[in-house]
Amino acid sequence: MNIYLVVEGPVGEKQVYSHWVPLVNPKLSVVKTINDVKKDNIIIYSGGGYPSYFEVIEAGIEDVASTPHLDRLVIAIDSEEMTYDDKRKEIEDFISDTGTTIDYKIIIQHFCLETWALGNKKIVSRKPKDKKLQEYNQHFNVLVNDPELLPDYPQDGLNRAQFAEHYLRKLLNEKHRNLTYTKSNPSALLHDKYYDNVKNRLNNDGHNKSFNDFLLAFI
Amino acid sequence: MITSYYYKGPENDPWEFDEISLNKINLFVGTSGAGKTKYLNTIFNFSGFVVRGNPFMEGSWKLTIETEKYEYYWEYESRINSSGKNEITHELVKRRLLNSQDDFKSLVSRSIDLFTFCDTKLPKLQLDTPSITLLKEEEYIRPLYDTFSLVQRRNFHDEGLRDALALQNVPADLIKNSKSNSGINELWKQENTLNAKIFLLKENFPELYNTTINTFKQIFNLITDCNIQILKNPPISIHYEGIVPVFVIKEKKVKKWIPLQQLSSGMQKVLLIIADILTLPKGSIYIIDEYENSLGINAIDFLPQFLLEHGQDIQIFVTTHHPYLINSMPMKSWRVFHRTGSKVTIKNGKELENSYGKSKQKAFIQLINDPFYMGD
Repeated sequence: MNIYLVVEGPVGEKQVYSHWVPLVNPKLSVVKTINDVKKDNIIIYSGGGYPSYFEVIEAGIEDVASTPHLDRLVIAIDSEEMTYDDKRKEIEDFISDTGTTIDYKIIIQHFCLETWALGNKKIVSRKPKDKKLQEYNQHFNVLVNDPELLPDYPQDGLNRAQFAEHYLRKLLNEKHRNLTYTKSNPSALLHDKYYDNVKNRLNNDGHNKSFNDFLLAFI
Repeated sequence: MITSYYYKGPENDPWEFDEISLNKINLFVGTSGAGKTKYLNTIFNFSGFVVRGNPFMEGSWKLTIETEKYEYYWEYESRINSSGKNEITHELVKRRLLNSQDDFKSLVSRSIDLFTFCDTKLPKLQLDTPSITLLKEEEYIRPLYDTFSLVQRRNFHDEGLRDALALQNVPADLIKNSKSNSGINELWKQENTLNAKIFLLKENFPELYNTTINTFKQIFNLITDCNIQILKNPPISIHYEGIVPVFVIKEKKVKKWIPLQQLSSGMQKVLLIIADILTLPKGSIYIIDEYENSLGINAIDFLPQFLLEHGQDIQIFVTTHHPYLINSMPMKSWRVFHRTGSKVTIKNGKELENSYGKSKQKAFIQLINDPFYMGD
C-alpha cells in the first residue's frame, strides 16, 4: 500500500510522522519525492498550516486520483480552537465537495501534535524546579489529566495550542537541560520510546483519544 | 552571459559551490543561510576585481561565458603566498565560436613562472592582476572583459536604497551626451540615481520613459500621474550648469505631488527594478538580492512577467523565498541551494521537474517538501 500524507505544519510534523508512521506499520517507508513511490511507501507533504492546507489537500486528492499506485490519502490536521467533531466535519465536507471517490483517512490532532506529546508520562517531573512549570502543573497537571482537555493559559495570553507547546518545552527542558522542543526541531519526539509512551497513554488511561486516528490511518 | 560557474574559496574561507550551468533568468532558492547571497557576492566581487581592480580575489574560479560571437572558458586560481604577497598561480583562457563544435583555442596560459598569450611568451607582468585585465585591449580578450564590466547589482538594503534614491546634480553635458545612440549605456556608466535616470529617460528616451511610467502605474493603481520636477533651491550643490530633478507622483484623492523619497519602500523598489531592467545595456548581468523583503504581493507579482518580457537581452539572478515568485517562474530557471558545512550543492530546476513528476501540488509546495531544499 502506498500512502500520500498531508500534514498540518511545516518542518516538524513531517519529521515526527516520518519517524512514527513506520512504528505503526513497519512495512511503510518514507520516500522523498512522488516519483520515488514504488511499493509500501509514504510520501509526506506539509500543508503550510490553516487555511493553506486546503489547497494542498485538493492537489493531494487529484494526485491520488490520477496516480494508480497511490492507494490512500491521509490528512493529519490540528483541531486547534475547534472541537474534534467540528474539525473532522470541516475536512469531510471539503473532501466530499470535490466529489472524489478515493480512499482517504483523516487524523484530527486534537488539538495539536503537542497535545499528543504531552501524553508521555516519562517526560513529566513530579517535583519540577522551574517556577513556570510549577505554575503550569497547578493550572493543569498533564500527568493525571487528559492532555486533550488542556485549557488556555490566560495569565500569559496563551490559547490552548500555544499553552501545549510552551508546556511541552518546559517539561522536556526540566528533564534534560539541553533538551528542547520547537515546531521546526521536534527531535525530542523522534524516538521509538516516545511514541510507545504516547500510545500507552491512550491504551492505559484512555487519554488523547484522537491519537487513535493516527493508529488506524496507516494499516 | 555566464553559462557555467564554479567557485572554491581559500583555506581561510573554504566555501565551495558546485559547478552549475546558468540560464538567462536564474531564480536562486534555498533556506536562509544556504549560500545564495554568498554565491552572488563571489560573482559581483570577482567582476569588480577584474574591471575596477577591487581587492585581490583569492580562490579558484571556473567560468564559461558567452559573448555575442564567442564562448570563453576561463580558469583562475590565486593565493596569498607565505610572504603575504598576492599572486595568481594559474590561469587558462580559451575560446571558440559560439554554437560551434570546434575545439576551444587556447588564448592565455599562465602559471607563476610562465605567461603566454596566443602561444607567445610574455614578459613578467603583475602577479596580482588577472590576464583579462592586463590584456583587455586585445581583441581576443575584449569581449570577455566587457562581460565583467556589465555586472550590476541592485542592493535593496537601507543604505543601497538610500543612495539609489538620492538627489543628484545632472550636468548639462550629461543631458546632451545621453541623447546619442550609446546614451542609454551612459545612464549606467554614470551611476545615476533614480531621480536622474528617470529625468534623462523623459528627456531623451520618451518611449522608455512611457513604458516605465505605465508599468509603474499598472502595478500601483492609486497613482494618477507621474512627472519630473526641477528643484529651484536644491539642498545639494549644483555644478556644470546642472539641474536637480525629482521624480514625483500624484495619487487619487491627494492634491499634492509626492516626491520619490516619500513613496513607500515597496514603490521605490518596484520603480528601481523597472527602470533598471529597461535601461540595462545589452549583455548586462543583473543581480537582484533580497528584493522581496517586507513587500506586498502587488510589488512582487509583476516581476516574473516583466522579466520575461523585458529581460531578454540581459542575464538576471534573483534570490527569493517568496511562494509567488517560485510558483510563477519556470522550474528550469530554479537553482536550489543546499549547504553542508562550507560545501554548497546546487540542483538545477530541470532535475527537479523530473523528480517532482506530474504532481498537482504547486511548485512551491513541492519545493518546501523536498528534503534537499529543507537541508535534511
